[in-house]
Amino acid sequence: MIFRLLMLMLCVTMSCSAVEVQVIANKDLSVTSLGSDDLSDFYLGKRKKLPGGGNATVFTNADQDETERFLDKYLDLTPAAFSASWKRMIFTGRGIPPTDAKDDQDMIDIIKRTPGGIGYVATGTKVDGVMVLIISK
Amino acid sequence: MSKQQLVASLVPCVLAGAAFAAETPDVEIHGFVSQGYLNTSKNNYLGETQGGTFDFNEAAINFQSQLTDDLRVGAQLYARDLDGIGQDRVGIDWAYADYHWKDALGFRVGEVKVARGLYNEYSDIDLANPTVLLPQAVYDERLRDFLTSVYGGSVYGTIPMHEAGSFDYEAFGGSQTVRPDGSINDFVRSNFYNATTGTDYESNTITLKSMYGASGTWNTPLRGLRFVVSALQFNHLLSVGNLSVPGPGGSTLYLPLSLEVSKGQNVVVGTEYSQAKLRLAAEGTIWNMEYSFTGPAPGSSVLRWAGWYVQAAYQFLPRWGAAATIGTYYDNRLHPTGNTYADPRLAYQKTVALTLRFDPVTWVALKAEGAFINGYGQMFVQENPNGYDGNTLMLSLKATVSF
Repeated sequence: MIFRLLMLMLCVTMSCSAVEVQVIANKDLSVTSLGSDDLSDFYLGKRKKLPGGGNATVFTNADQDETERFLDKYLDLTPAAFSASWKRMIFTGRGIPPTDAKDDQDMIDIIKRTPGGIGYVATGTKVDGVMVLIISK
Repeated sequence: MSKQQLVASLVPCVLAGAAFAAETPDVEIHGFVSQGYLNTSKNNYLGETQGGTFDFNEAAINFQSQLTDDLRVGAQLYARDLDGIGQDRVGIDWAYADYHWKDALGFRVGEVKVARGLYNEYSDIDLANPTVLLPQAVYDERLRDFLTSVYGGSVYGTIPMHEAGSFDYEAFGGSQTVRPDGSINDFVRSNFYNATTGTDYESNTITLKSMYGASGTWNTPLRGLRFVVSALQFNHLLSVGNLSVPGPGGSTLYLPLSLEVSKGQNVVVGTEYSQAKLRLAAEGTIWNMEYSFTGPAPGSSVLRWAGWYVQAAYQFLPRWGAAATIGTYYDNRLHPTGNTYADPRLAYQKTVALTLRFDPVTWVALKAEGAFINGYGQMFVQENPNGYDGNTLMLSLKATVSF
């Protein structure tokens, strides 16, 4: 009991998250997989063009645990570092930050109707109408 | 507002207007307000800092609109005050149309940021930096007025190199109107100010004919590790003003004097490693500036500045971060120990700084920074009319709210 309590406290302190995420995309995306560096470039506003053609439009999730896990897993960034990166972009005129989806269902709905749309939801979420994008290291 | 500023601000407005006629685009509005405090134990640095000063604030508001998939326009209004530099007068920080034709090639037209080193473009964005002051050895506040942006254009891009990572580049060119009451005036004034003889200088106009440069960044295959090299040149920075000297009977005589930097060249090399909570950075820079001046005792010379720093920043809790910075500025890299100076400590400025940052919420940043400064190389003589004294302890505080 005490051990579990200590682990819980450690987790809270270190902000570790148990949630896993999967990357989803509009069904008509010109590719079915992306390198993690490509995904990172899209989410940091450095690139827009998909390898197969067309523009990528990325979205973030208002769920903080999912966002933290996504940033850690695919971008190697903390939420603070991601925020700082976008503040640099905003205040130098280099770009507009990704739009937040309210929750997983909202994310799926947005991705469905956005050509080139890319986002993320919790693993296990029903993702009818969108594609699960394979991200390779 | 000058004609150049007017043109630069009209570019995005015209394009936005054209788009508005067809369809109303979304306009993103962001901004921030910063208030700081500087206090030095001895010697004034970046203002009348002995005893403390709150003349250290910034504010900005920007408007951006993605008109099409590849075309974005925007502008940022900016005001700042650093002990009278800026005086909170609102001006244009940047204003441009950005056409992202390809990832490897995009174009910006208007008032564009100067790409220099790792962090020059973020020098006026407190939220983006782990410290209150950027390392002064490379990002000298004395030059900030004319190293922020130029009226002209730039090309930029990201080129994938597959297993070798990627390469980012940006090349810019243009000109600008420099404020006669800004930091450049202070810098020119420091060449002629003499408390003993009562001599001083004030600019009436400062003009810059052109500035151009380029920056290249290699993003290595090791994620988070990058190397940057940048170079720029500016031509014909001319300050026209008056030298004031004591005259007969307690009067003041004003003698025309102009100082021109015919050519200024700068190179920065740097590296950064950022991974999750850690950021390590190191940069070095050299300046060459050939200048001459007219007036009662005309002359000419060459400035050969140099500087370097290393910095480590770590986010040790979700809302807390700390940074340590060591840097050195050399007033003449050919004589780094100052053996040709009346006081060797005028030849360099060595700084060790520790910073603590707390972001209680994502839109507020609070920073406290303590620095130990040995040397007076970057301190203005006119801010220290009684001379310099010993080492300097500096406390810098800053609070920023953004939206």
